[in-house]
Amino acid sequence: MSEDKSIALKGNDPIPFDYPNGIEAAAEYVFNHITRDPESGKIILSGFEIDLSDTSNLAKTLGTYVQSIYWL
Amino acid sequence: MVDMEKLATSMGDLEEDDVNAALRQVMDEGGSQATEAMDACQKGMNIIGERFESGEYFVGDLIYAGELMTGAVDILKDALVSGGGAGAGKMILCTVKDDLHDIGKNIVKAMLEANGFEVIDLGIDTPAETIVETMKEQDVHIVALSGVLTLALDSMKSTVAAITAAGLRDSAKIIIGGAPTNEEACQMVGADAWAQNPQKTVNTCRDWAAAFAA
Amino acid sequence: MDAKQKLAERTELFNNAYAFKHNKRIPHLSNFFTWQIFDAGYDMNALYDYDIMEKIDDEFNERYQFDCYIDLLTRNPMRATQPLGGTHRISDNGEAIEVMDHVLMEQTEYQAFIDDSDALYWSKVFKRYCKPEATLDDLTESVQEFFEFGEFATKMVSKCMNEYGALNYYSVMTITPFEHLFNYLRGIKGSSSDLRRVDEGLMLEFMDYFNDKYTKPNIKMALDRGTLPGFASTITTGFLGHTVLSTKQFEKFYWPYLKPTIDECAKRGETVSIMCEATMLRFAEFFEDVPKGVMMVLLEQDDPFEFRKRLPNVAIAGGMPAMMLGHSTPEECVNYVKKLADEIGDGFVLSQNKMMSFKNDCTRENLLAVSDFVQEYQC
Repeated sequence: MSEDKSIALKGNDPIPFDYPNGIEAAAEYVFNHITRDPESGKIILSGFEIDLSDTSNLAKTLGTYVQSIYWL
Repeated sequence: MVDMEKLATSMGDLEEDDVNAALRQVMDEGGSQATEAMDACQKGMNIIGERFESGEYFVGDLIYAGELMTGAVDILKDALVSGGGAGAGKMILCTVKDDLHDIGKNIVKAMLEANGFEVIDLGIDTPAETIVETMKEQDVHIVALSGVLTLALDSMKSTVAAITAAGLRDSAKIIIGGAPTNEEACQMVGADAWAQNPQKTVNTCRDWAAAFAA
Repeated sequence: MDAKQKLAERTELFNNAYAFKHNKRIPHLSNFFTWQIFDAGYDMNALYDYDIMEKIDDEFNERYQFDCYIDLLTRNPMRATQPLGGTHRISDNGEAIEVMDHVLMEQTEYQAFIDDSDALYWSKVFKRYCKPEATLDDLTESVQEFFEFGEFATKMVSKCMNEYGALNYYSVMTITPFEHLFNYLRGIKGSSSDLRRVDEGLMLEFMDYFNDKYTKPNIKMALDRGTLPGFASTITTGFLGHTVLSTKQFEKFYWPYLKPTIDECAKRGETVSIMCEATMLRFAEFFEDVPKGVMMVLLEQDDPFEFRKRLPNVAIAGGMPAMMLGHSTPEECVNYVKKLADEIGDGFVLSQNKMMSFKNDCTRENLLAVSDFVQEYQC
């Protein structure tokens, strides 16, 4: 995770809605704060492991979520 | 001076730019034609109602027409003279308790107003008590209840029961409208009529108003 | 009969219904949503507790033994949407879910969507969806809950097949571009006025773009894998936006994006189920040439007897009025089911004509009578 971004962001910060920096920053925050699997220490969501080192994929995963949740 | 026949046709054709241009011309010229212009818009709404009945227009067009009509009133309102002329009468329209849908209600409202009704719109999620109180305070005898959810039927039934308990049922006419309404629902609720078609609501209320006036 | 045997029998019932082959008994599809919560003695707040929801589903299945389920209390992920505000909230008396009307895309943003939909979704659509004060912790909680909800939904789908021995009505839900506008991005009012106010070329360009990027890949995925075991159809599509369209508008803005899916299903021997709100017989001419065996429509306001006459090539699900289930006697309900089965004949699945959501939509007594009858009545 980028140290600059991790220092900058706090949980009670508003969601950064600028694009693409905002979604990338939000994705880094979200996936670094998701509850990890207690045994493996990994982040497993619906059976898929989230790779924290792949920052562009994190933003893509968050983007997919955003494009699903607005249905609900 | 604005050509009122052309305005009515533009409204009927849902030509927003032409309608708004004509109405702004009315206001630019001092507003003396405002009442005539409103009548022309209402005539246009009747054309729209007819085209809906024939199947040429459908619900999306009625929604759009409702917006045009609201916009028309907005442009003309400062020049419109209130009162004067016999309207079709006063009536209550609302979406019943526990239902928040209002699109159908607003379409019906625009068409009722276009047909000369003074519509007291009580909004959405309307308790029975509010309807009863308004009937008493405003001496209203025609009530139109709208709802989309099946639970709206329960609220409609409670509303009719409340009107009955208040001693107002015999002098009132009640119509229910919306997706869950049909003949069986109408009987269950205790209403006098039902409609899923806004034009039918208008026609029914017009008949009732004429009977009350006679 | 164990779950595996039940599932095999029920799969055959639904396959036969699609194909207009004779079934010895009436297949019974559950269009029950949150009514089952009230039937179990809870209120809508149960939607926040997955253990309770699972218990409710178990009891519902045990009591009524439906052959197929549209919903397993997996439609409203309240815990996922609430941290961000969400568009649904439970009424104060716990008896209804209130849906707040949202316009998530402005009329002037069609071009921006085409230019970069990912950017628009994040910076505008999602922003409008969220409550104004939404924080990164709210987003984190929502994402976490969303995936946990996904696990619950997956568990229930599996349970349906493997423990209840029942089918899931749909595996892949996909909707046309106009449905996205109507249901989500522009709302009913917005999408209606857009048809008149937005340049037609731009509207169609948006629809083509949306179709290519979002809808087609989903359909391709569903068709390539075919109907999976435990599922009643290959593709399901929602048919709601048609309720505001004239025939001309439907022909221009809707049909070109639905027809290819139906045609492809026909070509590959797959099935498409349409969940129809309100009526659709106004558009019957469009569906006249669909071969038998491809399409099933879950009816709401269309009269099923009329529908069968007008479109004898399309299988019907539905027919049982919520009005009767909620307010008639058990005998009246059963007699009506018999009439449906006898007069509509093959290509028919009994279901309810509404998404059964509220306490008074049905009585237990009536549903038990109907459920028992469909198990015994020989067609």
